[in-house]
Amino acid sequence: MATHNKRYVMVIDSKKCIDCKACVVACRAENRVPLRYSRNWIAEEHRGEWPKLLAAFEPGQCQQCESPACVRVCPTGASYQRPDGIVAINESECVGCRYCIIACPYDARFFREDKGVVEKCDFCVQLVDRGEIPACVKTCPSKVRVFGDLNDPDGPVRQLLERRRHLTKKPEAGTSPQIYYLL
Amino acid sequence: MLLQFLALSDTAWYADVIFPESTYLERQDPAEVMSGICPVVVYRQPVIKPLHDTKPTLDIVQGLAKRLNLSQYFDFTIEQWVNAQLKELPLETPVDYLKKHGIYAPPGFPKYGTTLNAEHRFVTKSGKIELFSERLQELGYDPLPIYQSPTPPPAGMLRLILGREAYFTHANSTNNPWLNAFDSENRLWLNPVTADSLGVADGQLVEATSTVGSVRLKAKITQEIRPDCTFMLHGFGKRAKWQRLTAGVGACDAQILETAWDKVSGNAALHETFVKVRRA
Repeated sequence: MATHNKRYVMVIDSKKCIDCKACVVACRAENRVPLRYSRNWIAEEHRGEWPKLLAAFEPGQCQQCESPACVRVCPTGASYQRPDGIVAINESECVGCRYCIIACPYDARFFREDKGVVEKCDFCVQLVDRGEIPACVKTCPSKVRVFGDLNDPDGPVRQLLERRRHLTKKPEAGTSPQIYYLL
Repeated sequence: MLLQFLALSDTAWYADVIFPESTYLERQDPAEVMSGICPVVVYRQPVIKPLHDTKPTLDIVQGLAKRLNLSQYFDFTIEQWVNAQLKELPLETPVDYLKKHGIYAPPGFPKYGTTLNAEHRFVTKSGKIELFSERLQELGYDPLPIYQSPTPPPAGMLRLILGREAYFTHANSTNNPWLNAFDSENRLWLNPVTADSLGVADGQLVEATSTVGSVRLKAKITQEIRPDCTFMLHGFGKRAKWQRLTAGVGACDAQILETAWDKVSGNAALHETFVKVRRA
């Protein structure tokens, strides 16, 4: 069997999103995130004048960059990248300087006043390491999100990206984001 | 009025006696049949012990039966009940099967084109989905549904539209703190054209009145509603003080909703109320 290094990424098909926010609630429950913070969100766009209207929803979160600015600026090594690509935070090393919050082009990080540390989406590493998928992916009723290994040629992520046009957010920031949005 | 309920809802607020039932995650229910042309048997098992001092339905019924000297009719355990229900299923050990799978569907699950036999027919005259219904014709109704435009609202009134947000389940989860955070107060939607003619600004308190009641809530001015309609989210303005986040917050659509139903299906017709809106 061919072996390869895993590279976890997520593909998001925003057109399927119905703004039910189940992903936000599931993340909160799985990662014990208090109400005033959130690791993920759904951006809304409302345009037009009745009766010609447009409403669009787009889930957002840490973009799990290949070249993460947050890791580069972290003075203690609390923000780090795993061999499988996931950008995570080692809370015990975080001193709360918040450089990473400023460095992140996606505004995906927040400071937990109660714990004195920075937090963000880490693809639910505790689940991924048990062979499961992130809570937001599992709960989504309209299957907006697909999670998997970009390096698996037969995996669902590669299949989708080969078949469908897609883009990443703010590629000009130079961090090589790894959340792919289908067009 | 007696009520058995999971949450202290407005319905509970109207009850004289409330029996605290365990939630669906905490109780063993009798097996349930979901009917249809291909029915299935569903088996609900507890996944956690009750968090609070609550009881499953059978315990509540048995307690009541004892008080009324009717115990002999409810002299069985939930296991015996379920066993009796399931014993005719064509399985060797039906209870074990359902404990493991949670659901039993007869073999040969429907596939398009494979259910064209006498056992799998609709209860219509033709046994098929009927676009033209002779039965309706015999009863004096239009045999083929005919579109009828809704009556336009009388001058100075708006049609009240009912609806939900995707993150709330009907009226019963608006008080959940995680969900309530997404929308914690309902407002009366008004098209800018309508709002202008009424002299209402965004966020201003307004009063909506129908023939059955009147409510007060803040206005939300948005393009996303027709100028001749108005909308308020379901599940707010509750009476039950136990619903801490929604009691007295916003307004309750049920207070101004007039009774109407579809003459053929009997379904509640929820968008037939006209309201007068003015600055409160």
